[in-house]
Amino acid sequence: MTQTHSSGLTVEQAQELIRREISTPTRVRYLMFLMIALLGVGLISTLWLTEPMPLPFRTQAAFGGLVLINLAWSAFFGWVLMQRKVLYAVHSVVAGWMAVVFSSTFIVAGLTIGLVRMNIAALAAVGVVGAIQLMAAILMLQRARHRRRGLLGRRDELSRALAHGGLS
Amino acid sequence: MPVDSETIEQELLAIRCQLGEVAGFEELVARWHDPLWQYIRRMADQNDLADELIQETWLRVLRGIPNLREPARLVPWMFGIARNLLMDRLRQKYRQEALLENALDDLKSTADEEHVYERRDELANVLDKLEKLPRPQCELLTLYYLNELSIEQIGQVLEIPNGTVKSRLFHARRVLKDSLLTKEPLR
Repeated sequence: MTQTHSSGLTVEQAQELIRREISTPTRVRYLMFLMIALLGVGLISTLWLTEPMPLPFRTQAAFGGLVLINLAWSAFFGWVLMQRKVLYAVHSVVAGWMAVVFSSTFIVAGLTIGLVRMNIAALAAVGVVGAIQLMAAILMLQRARHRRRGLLGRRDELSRALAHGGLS
Repeated sequence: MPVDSETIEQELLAIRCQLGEVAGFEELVARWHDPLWQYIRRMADQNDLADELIQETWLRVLRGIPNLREPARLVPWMFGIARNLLMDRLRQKYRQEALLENALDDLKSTADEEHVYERRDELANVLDKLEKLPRPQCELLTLYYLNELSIEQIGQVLEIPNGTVKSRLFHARRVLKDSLLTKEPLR
């Protein structure tokens, strides 16, 4: 291949840029922030809705504000993970496991709040919402594992084909 | 249908990247950084712009590769990203791309292929003339001869049928030959 110019950005610099961009710890950190923000939305809402006595306006506004802040952070971290720090197959599996753990945490914490306050409606709401969340998380995990298995299988098949000189 | 080892290598590389293997990404960059940069540089005609666009191209490749549906089409997909970025930038810079197309009509055909490629020391002259060609011809010849993409891969990058690639390639070769023989500036 004829080369008449050399890039200002060398291969090594480009590789360094890539290594920074695909860093796994960064993705896990953003996933953790996303889960914490979502868990925050769920638990603050549960506390708010299970208050036994009518709350003064300022307390209601504070609860509402906290839920909105957590929703905003969830949206931001979700955007980062969709557009900037995208998840590769291995990260999607990690994300699936984290979703399962955090959904389970929400169910346990939410049911505990409901039981302590003896609020049947809250118990039912947390049970239904938590079960839907957990099912969605398990489905996400299964899909991620299935996709990763498929890619690993294809990778091995192609590696074998390359070693044996072709694919038919 | 048997698949050649180069296609297998490309698909394998794409899949390793989709899995998130750091070594796969490093190999991808080591193999394709220079060909992509040369393509962008030749089309952009500026080193600084090419450096900026190659970084943007790599970022888009990183962000888009998990959703690449046909990993075997990795190379045309990457060149397509570079091309789209380049076209967006060139559209901003040159609003009247049609002027370049019109320059083609003024070219005369008096080619003699044997004469053109007689001496190796004329290579520099060929590359210089290539850069001065109207952008569509320069792009086609760069992809085919310098980046060594197949007719089919070029068709995927430019989103045109293989037959059209062949006919445009034929035309671009003739324009290049003409420019080598006439010694007149193209634009």
